[in-house]
Amino acid sequence: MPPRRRTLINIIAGTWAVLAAAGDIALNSLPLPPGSATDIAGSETQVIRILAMMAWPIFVAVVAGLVFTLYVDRVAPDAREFDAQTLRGNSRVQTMWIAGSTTIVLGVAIFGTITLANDTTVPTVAQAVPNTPLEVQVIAQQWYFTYRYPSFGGFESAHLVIPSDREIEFHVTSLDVTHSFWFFAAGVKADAVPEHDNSVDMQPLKTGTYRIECSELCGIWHGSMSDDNAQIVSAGDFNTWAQQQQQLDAPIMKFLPPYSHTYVPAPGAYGS
Amino acid sequence: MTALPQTPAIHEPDPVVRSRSLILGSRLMLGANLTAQLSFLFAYLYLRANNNNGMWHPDGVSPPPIGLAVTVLVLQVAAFAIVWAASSALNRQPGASGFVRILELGLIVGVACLAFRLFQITHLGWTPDKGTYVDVSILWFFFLAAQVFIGILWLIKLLSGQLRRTVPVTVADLRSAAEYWAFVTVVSLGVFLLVQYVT
Amino acid sequence: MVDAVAVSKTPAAPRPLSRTLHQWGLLLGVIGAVLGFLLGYFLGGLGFVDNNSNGSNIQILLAYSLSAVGFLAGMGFFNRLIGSLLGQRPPTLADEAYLHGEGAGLSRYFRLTVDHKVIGMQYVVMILFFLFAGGLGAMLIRGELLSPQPSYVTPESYLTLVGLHSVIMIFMASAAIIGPLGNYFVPIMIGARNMAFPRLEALTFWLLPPAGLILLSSVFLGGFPTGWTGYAPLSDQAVLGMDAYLVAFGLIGLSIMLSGLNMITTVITMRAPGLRFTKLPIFVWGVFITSWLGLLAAPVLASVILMEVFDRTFHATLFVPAGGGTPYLWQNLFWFFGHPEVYIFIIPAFGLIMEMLPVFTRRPLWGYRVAVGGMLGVGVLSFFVWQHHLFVSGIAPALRPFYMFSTEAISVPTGIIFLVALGTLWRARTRFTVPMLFVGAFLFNFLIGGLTGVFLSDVPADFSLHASYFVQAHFHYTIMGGEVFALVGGLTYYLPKMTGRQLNARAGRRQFWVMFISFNSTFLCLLAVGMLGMTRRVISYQPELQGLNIAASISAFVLGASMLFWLGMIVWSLILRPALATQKNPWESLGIEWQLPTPVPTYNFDTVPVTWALPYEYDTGQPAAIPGRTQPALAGGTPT
Repeated sequence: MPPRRRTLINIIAGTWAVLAAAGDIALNSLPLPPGSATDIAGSETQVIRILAMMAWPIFVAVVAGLVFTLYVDRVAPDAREFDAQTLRGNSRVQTMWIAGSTTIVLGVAIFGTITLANDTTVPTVAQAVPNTPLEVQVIAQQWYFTYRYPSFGGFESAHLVIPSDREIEFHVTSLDVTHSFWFFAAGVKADAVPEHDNSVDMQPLKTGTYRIECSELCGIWHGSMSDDNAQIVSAGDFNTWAQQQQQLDAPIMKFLPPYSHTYVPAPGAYGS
Repeated sequence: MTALPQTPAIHEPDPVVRSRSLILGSRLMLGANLTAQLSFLFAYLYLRANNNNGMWHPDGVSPPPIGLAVTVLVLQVAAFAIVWAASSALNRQPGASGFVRILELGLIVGVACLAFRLFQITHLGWTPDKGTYVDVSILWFFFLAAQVFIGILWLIKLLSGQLRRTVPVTVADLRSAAEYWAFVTVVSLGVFLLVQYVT
Repeated sequence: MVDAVAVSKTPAAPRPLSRTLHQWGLLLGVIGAVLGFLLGYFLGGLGFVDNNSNGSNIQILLAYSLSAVGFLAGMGFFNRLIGSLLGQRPPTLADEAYLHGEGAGLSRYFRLTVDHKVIGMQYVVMILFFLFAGGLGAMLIRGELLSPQPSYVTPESYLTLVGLHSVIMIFMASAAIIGPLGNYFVPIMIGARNMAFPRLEALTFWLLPPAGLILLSSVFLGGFPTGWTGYAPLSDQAVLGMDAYLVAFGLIGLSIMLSGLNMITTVITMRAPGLRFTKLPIFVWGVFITSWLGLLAAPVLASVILMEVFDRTFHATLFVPAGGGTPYLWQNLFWFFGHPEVYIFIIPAFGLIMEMLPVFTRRPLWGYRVAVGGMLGVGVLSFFVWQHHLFVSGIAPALRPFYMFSTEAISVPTGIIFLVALGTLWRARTRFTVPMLFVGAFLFNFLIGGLTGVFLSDVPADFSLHASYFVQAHFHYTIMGGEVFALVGGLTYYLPKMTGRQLNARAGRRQFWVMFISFNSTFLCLLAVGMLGMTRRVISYQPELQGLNIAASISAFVLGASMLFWLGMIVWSLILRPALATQKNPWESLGIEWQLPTPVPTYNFDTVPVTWALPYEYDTGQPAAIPGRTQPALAGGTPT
């Protein structure tokens, strides 16, 4: 091939290498969502990071290839040149491309499956005080979430408060239509479906105040069904708070339905 | 560059291509019909497996009376068998009109089948609030009744054209109609078995 | 099997009443629609109690359905059906010629005409109408989202706005390429004189205006709160506007199914003798594969809509857990349709892009068979991935790895399309016409769209990204960045053949760059906003995301302006100051559609060619076929 073309290819390849490396290095240290507030959030961040580090070089390569072929070999729109070499279908290149992309896809899928399996089984995070998981029920309705704590008498709270020292087992359900409990910083998203118990586990790693939103369209005030005051607190603070709430709510507990994983609202609530 | 005539040309479509299109088109529609039926099948089995609140088949709901259900099914199968026989008759002797009497009988039996279906639907004593077995089954019954109605219209079209000597029935036409009736009959049999025995 | 073509003048006999009625079909259709509406409203009011908070479902459903039927009856769609039931004689050749629009002038675009080219032009107008109506909705949405709190739209209207924008765009996208370009060019590309079922094809078009109007009328009924996905049980709760959505979507599903049926049958039975599947233009392959998806997926939509109508109108409980139903039934059935639906959007775009590439690179498509295999793989796999929409829904968690695999596997055949495109471009002397710019943009945009899809297909990543603006940006990159860019490029490419007029190239280039850059700046911002935790379909959001939202909105306004400019270009160059195409084949394509004169004669070919080649032999200059010739020769000879 002519020397100028070879030089151009080298420049483009070099640019690709530099951009890909720079991007991957940046991605490796950028704070990516959802963060590391919980174990599964950390795992999801890791997955997103790895996918991004794989996608970026591919993106740059295809764009570089496009720019090179479109720009370098272009002619004026009304040119009358027919000297383009005909490149017949090269089965070796095709096979390599298909084999390569299949391998990458299989690898990503296997990696995703392993991560998913890890995230959905009880992890062996050594730092946790070996308690049983704390069960927290998330009851969604139009248009707010209520949190219920069965191990503290089943009291209800309008804001989520959880301890950072043990596994949290969310049980998400709904009273009316489909909602979705999205605790962004925790990497937890679970649809709230009426009469269905959707269970997700996670282990917090940091304390802080975070945002919870509803992420399934549930009617007019779906956009307002969010809470900026979800807290992950230390174990001591949590126990204090929970016992306090339990005492405060004791007189009204008899008016609340007994704790169960799903609730069936009284008839007449649907379709009237 | 190529000088084409400016006067309009009248184009006569090739009858062989038309009959191939007709057979292929009606088979493709059966494919579409199949995915629709599969949605109902999925709904039936999925709701049954879920049985939320025990409301799949609550007490007080009984399957359709077996006598009436069998009558409907027998009429359906008979209508299909007769239409199929008409199609075979025409196939053996294209251009002859021996199939016409057979087809007329098929039409009558088909109408009887539709009448019994409508009677069955309106006499089940089912209401929509009696659980999802009732809901899916009744919807499916209506859907099948509509399909039988379309099948009847198809037979009327064939017979009208034939008897008024405007559009003689072709082998392809009748064969497509017979395949349609076959499809509806197989689905009816499946629905019968499900609704009566897989409750 | 050469068909007989009789050349004669149109009959000079006095026009019968039926033809006059037919000529006024649109007016009669409107009258029929009004009468149908009133009849349905009346019938629905007989004996049914008001069962919704703002009126009776059954009245509205019957009113809408009968008005659609009345419209089609007025247009004349039931004439042949009723005639055949009564045993009337079939249409004569003269009748058929009349229906094809012989001697009818412009009026043939405003009545039932079975010429596929007329239907294609009708689709152009309808698709552009839907595109800009939906686009207006988008501008209003982005305007509202400049502020993190509700500003000029109420929360209820916002949901309807979002719903209308999305459903109108879905309607548009489901037929954007097959409707105008598939209808116009597939019969020509296969050497046929029309489609297999011409009246059916006209029906697929004429279902769209009623569907669009019914959908828009939901505004007067209180709107609908579910977005385009119509999730139950929220849809059970909704006011009457939901019924408008159900009827409109049902009509569109019917249109998709019938169009699929027609295209498949046409490609299989009406190909010219001598044209084997291995010589079909890649665009025809794209339309053909898509049609299977439409044919098989749309009936599932129809079923699930029927179930929802049953739930709403008769208080059945198919989706209500208290009565034994489950919301998951809707989700599963809807997405079983919904996922193939989005491949219905994009596969014709793949075909269109690959059809244009050889023309502007002046060489054969690199890997034609592999490209066909790629589109086929995408089409088949599209039926096996739908549960990736349900990863966080709480059902079947054990099935998630399977759907993760199947969804990620789709990127392999999709990648093949890129391979073929890159191979065709490699070392090509590319002509940078305006359509070629859009081809390049398609490849860039769809690359981003596809790569973001891989993120979403990975279940742990999906926990964070599902239902956020990341998803929204992903599908806008694929549908708008992919299909709409292909549509704009494709129309720029094909309008000279369809209308004999060309768009201004310099204006086109400028419009392209503004559109491309603003599109990317809009949706890159939205990708970021989604990664930072903003949910879809919300009117209020975290204040810290306002900056990115403002950036996205401003870019969106620029994008909207560029689209309006494109519309202006079309109106200017095609209607106001027609810019006649200088030659009948301005792009020097070897496709057979470009060997025909402009305007294309009613029956396309004088003599159907019997010798065919792939239309990409740019090294020899051999066209796909020469109309009017029975043996191959260089272009420019006299017909035999």
